[in-house]
Amino acid sequence: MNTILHQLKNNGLVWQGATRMPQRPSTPTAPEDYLATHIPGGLTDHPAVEIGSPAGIGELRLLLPKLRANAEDNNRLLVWIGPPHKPNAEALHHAGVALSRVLILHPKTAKHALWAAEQCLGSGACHSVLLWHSRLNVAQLQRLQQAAGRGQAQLFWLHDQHSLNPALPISLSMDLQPHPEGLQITVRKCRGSWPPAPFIIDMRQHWPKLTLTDPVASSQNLIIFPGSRAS
Amino acid sequence: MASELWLYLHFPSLQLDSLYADQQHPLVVVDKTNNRVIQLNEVARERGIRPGMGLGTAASLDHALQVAEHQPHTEDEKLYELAAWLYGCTSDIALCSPNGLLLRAHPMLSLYNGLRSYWQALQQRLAPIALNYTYACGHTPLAAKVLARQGYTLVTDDAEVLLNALQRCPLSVTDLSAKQQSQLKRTGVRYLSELLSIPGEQLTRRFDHELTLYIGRLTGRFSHPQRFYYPPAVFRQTLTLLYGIENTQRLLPPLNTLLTRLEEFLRLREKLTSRLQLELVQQNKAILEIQVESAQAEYQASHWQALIALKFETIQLSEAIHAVILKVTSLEDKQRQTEDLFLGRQGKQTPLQLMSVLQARLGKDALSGITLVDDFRPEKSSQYCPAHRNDLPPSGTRVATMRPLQLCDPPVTLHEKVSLRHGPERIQTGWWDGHPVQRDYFIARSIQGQWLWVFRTPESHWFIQGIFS
Repeated sequence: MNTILHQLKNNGLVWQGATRMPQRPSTPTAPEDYLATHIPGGLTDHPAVEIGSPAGIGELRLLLPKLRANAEDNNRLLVWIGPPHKPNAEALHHAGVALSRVLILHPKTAKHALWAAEQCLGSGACHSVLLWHSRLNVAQLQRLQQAAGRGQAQLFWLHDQHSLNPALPISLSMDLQPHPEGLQITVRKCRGSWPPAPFIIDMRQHWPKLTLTDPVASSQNLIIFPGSRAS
Repeated sequence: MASELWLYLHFPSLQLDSLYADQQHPLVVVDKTNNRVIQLNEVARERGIRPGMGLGTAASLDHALQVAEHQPHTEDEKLYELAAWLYGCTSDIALCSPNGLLLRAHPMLSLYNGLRSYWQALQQRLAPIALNYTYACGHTPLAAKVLARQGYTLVTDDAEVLLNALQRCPLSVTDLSAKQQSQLKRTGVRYLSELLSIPGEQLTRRFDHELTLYIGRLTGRFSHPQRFYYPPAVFRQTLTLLYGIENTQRLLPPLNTLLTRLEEFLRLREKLTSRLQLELVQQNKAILEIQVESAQAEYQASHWQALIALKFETIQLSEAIHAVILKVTSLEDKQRQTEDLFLGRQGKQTPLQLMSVLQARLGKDALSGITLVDDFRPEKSSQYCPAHRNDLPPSGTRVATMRPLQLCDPPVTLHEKVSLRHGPERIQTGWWDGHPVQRDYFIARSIQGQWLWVFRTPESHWFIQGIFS
């Protein structure tokens, strides 16, 4: 084959429609998955998700429904690797995350963090891994994604910059910006479809106190149940 | 007394056989006190080296000769290990230092349905250990010992055969002291047949009491009580390396032999362990201690091998290692692991196995779980705990609703300008345990759009307690 094509392929600059990911036994899309209406399938079916976001705007709240869905019907672990702050047991418990299945790792070096992430993803003993890590190269990411496929786990890679390298072979990559109603999301890359135009996630229903405009005020006659409990 | 039957196993080259070394080169064990070869391997024998030869002569016969110093205590330890190993198929074992084991055979005969099958079972048991040994039966402990040390390989309970064999033995293989032997030699007694033919009353008159006692025990006229081996409750084995090893990766193969023995030890007892203690002995007898822990108790050598390999990656050896000691002191009972039949195993590892692997590489402190404590102070209500020990919060635990997912611990001084959106929520508690707080909490939004959980102290100092990530 053409050497230039080869190079392009090896660097992950070409996406080929023919090389579809092997079909994983897909978990059903979480009913509260905020992204489901904008990206086909929502967060499901992506072994690795890159999230570039400033801290504290709702990046974890965006993932909570998916984390809950992943934890359903199994007793696998949710692993936090190198979180910038201490996870709050109260909030997690309130959000429906089983604390007994939360494992927090504080590796001393970045190398150890990546090794731990690969072990966790490939072990089959974890359903999701949250990894705070500033930079990943193509080879590292590919190893992590393969491990995630092996262990049927999902990797959420969080960092506080804009999505770094468009050539990274990641299956879903997005940038998060604060917005009065919740979050503004720019999808940089989405395997299997064109990235949609930037859209806004409305968190007014689920997190009314963490948005600037209150939906109750705008529709006076309706009283909305707290979202996460609504049946 | 003729109904008694003893079996003696004599290991002439115990230290040599138990050295971890390839047996392709000539190898001798030398007694340091007189520099004489006392044990040698087959290759050395082919080169013309003989037991009792001086070290200088031996070295001149082969320049590639490897020499190890004779260490009686390692032989004792090895003997002890052998007894532990044989305990699996025979009950009464007495240790005869420096290199023999005495088995009381007659109580075992009805179990094994005869001497022949008993001996087969013992041989099978000894086969994997790969030691050179000679063996003999006897109607008294001492008779069996003399025959085995003479080099017999004799398993029979025929009294006549045994007596004939015994009478052909020279005095040098008996336990008599050098002085007694030379005394007897001067009177013309060289073989046991001659000694045994001396009538009893003459014996007491002509020789000392000790000789009489020995002869009495040998022939079975006097009883000879034995102290039998009793298996220890803990595992402790030593492996001496022939040469120093400085690379941790190269320590792994010799360690494997120890782990395999541990597996056997645990399997026989239906036990598991979650912690190994490794002691690496350096040249200057300094000991490097390493603890290897597993979150899930295990007995299999392969599991421990993987964990030790990971642990070794983090360890730098400053000096060469000459011996490895493996200790296991805490044993646990096997417990049934529950696994959902329909979910099946979704990966290669269980959560506990994964934690063992992570712990071995990252260190124990790098892993933690998180647990909920019934307290109003945020920094106390959410606490790190040992991984996988976090219990479910007691039902009825009060859970506040609007809490950030991440906490700043300790709280950070607020420097930027924020707008307070909700609050205040006052938390005033802890006056009884020395950490009183009085704080007014607000949900605030920074100019960059971050949602912060801030509080104000009575002194109007502002801190960030958490972020609503």
